[in-house]
Amino acid sequence: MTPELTGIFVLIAAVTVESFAQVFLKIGASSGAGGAWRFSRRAGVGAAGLSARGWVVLGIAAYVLEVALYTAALHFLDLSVAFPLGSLCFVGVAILSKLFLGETVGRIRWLGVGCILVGTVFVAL
Amino acid sequence: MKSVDTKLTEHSSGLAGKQAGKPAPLPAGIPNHGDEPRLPGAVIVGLILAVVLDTIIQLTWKVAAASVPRDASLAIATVGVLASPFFYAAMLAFGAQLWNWLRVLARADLSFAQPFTALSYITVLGLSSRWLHEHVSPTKGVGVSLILVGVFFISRTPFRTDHPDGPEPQAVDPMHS
Repeated sequence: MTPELTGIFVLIAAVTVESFAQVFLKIGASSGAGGAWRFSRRAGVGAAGLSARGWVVLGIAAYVLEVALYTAALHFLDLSVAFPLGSLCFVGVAILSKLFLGETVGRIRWLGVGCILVGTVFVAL
Repeated sequence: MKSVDTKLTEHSSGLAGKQAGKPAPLPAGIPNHGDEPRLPGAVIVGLILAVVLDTIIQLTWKVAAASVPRDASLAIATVGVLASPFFYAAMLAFGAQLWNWLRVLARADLSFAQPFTALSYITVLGLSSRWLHEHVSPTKGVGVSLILVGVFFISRTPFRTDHPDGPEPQAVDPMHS
């Protein structure tokens, strides 16, 4: 495997972890509104008993892991490649929000995410 | 973000003046949520604060990292970063950002709020070019425009999904539960 490909895989892992970190923070912030209950039901895991603070701590821990993975990815990739690829977390968050939080992600929201994604590619050029 | 208020008000009031008694038609692609609530002021302030804090974090982090020589070992780099007051400014901003972000997420959908943080790409680019006198190329200008258009599209979508299937909402402070 070439260093670039390794870097891309590590970066995708970082983006995935960051997207989950955001979901965990969201559940922590809205536990009283059934966030944990909904996540547990949709993800098929028995995590409904975790406290709001527990979800926040889980989110922070995921962020620490994400920083480590992103730093590792930068070891293999140029920032001009890593920066726009990192914005894939907007896509990851939209997918996970729909899947696990039951949020309505319609065509217009997807269009917005798409514009941001292409925009970050241009900013990095 | 002022436009969000206007748009949502338009949705809830509809074209009542023109078509009395009839529901207002919505543009294609925008779901009809009936009495769409206005975007709360707390969410607007929270999103603005999130972009400001994100910008402070990125700039202070960059200045702290720049104080370390490029060829420094990991130990020297760590000591160098820890000796920089900008590192502590970044940490302080991180704490404030977490507090602010949880308040935003308690009120708005994650898939609505999170894309707004892309605006910090623009503020960082703008401030870097001003301070470092860097020329912003036309390509970067196109990128900035696309990010703005993307955030604009998202601001036109409902900020919160109603969940009729879930437990009744309760007020919970995640920092003190």
